[in-house]
Amino acid sequence: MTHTINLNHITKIEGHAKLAIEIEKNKVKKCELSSIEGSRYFEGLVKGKKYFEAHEITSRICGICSCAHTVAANTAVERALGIEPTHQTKLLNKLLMLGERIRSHAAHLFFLALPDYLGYESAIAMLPKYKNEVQSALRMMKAGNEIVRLVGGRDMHPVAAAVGGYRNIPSKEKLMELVESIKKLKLEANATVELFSKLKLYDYEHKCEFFSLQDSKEYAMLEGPLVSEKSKFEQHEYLDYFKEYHSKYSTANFVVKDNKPYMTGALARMNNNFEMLSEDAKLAVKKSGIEFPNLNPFTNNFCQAVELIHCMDEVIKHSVDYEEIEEHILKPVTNTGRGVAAIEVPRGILFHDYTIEDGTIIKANIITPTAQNLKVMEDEIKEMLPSLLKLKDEEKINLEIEKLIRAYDPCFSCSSHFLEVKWKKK
Amino acid sequence: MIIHVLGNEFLKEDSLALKIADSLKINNVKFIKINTFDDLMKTHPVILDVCKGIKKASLITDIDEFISRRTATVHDMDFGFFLKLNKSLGNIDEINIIAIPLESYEGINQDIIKIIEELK
Repeated sequence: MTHTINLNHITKIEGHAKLAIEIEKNKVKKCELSSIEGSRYFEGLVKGKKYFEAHEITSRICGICSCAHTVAANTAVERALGIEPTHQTKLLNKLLMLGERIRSHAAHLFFLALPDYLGYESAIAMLPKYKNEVQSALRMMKAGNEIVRLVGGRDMHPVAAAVGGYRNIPSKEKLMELVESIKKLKLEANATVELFSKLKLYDYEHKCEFFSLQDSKEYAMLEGPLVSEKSKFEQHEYLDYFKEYHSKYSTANFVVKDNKPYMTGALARMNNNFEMLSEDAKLAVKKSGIEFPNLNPFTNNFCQAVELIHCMDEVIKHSVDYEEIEEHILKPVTNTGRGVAAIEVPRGILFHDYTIEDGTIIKANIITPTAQNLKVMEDEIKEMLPSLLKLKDEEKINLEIEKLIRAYDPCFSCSSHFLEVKWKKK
Repeated sequence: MIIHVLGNEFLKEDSLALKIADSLKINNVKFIKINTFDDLMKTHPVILDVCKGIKKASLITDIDEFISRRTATVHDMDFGFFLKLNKSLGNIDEINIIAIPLESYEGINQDIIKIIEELK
């Protein structure tokens, strides 16, 4: 007898995905996680455009991650054209990314992941019992928005960041006003870590490579080689290690290393760079009793909560360091070259790779974190299914599968790319 | 009176409120374009926005008039979701939305001015 599972609408994730599962005599015959979003063609859209247009176009890949695409595009173009950004530009890039990560993590954790664990359909349904938590989420999202608005010039699709520097720089005074509100919000970030540390996670471990950037000076965000527990290579070498391939059943590409899936995201970052977290973030983890390295992908949401504390500490540190120096936008040293930028964004590593000739982009490659995590999600579902089938109730099985997918905080619309599970049992 | 204006200048079907806010000059009325819902918290906001399914400018005061859709992604956390969430949280007590159709019509400015004068 064949049992087919069609999870045709995986909810509370970014974009649209579906999962088709076929089980024959309790053995998984097919497990295909696919994106059903239309192709985005952003790499084609930037071809023929000038180097300074890449960030404005690619920022539109996603509103939630618009700062990430802006910074990745600018960094890649700067590397291609020999521009070494100033200390202040790097600091502002970090602040922009930190603001975006705070609002993205707060939104995902409270509005998309938490209702699953507390047994509610949505955050609105949670309100009678969890009003304070939802208010807290809104305050953290607002703080993230304010950082992005101040540094980037507006709440989404920043206009201040450009190739070679910032068109407009924030006032130190306004940044320090934000710091005061961030200091108060840290209590709420700590409460978020405590809340997520108490959620009952599915007992599951998956051994795979966990990839992140690594930086000897800080919890890596914009610079450093790509590392896992057994690999280390430079950003520009990524194509020598990571292979993108296409499957007929998905509009999103899959990415593997040595033909095996790997994970990227908050869990990977914490597995590789735990010691570089802020002291308060590490203390919150210690209090939780959760240990790292950790192989349970469901822990990724807990890691996002920990990163809220870390990101707030970083905002405070960088704001204090910020000197508000009026600087000119740096000009390219050359008009031809290739530049690769791998940066840590809310959902994992984001790659932007541009080849530029006479100031015009002739080739582009963009790999989002969700495209990289798609294969590992598929493999983990396949691996979890035999024990999940013991639950018998299809709704319960689907919920656990959806929890796993949402643990990754995937963005299918951006990976080019909700879940439909199609069950087929024989 | 401050009127918060929502819209996207790059989308034809979502840009009319922004264009009208630029063209209308009314005594003691200030139009402020906003990008996020943060600015609406703890206020009794008056909002100008386009609304699908209406033919003439109208005043909406009942948030339940909005059709809820399943919040599946952060992208679904739309205007209606945030209004309902913030009303449930007590962040918004009362709301006045000057809703206009996606496309302009003859006399739209006069209809909007009439609604604003009644709200004053």
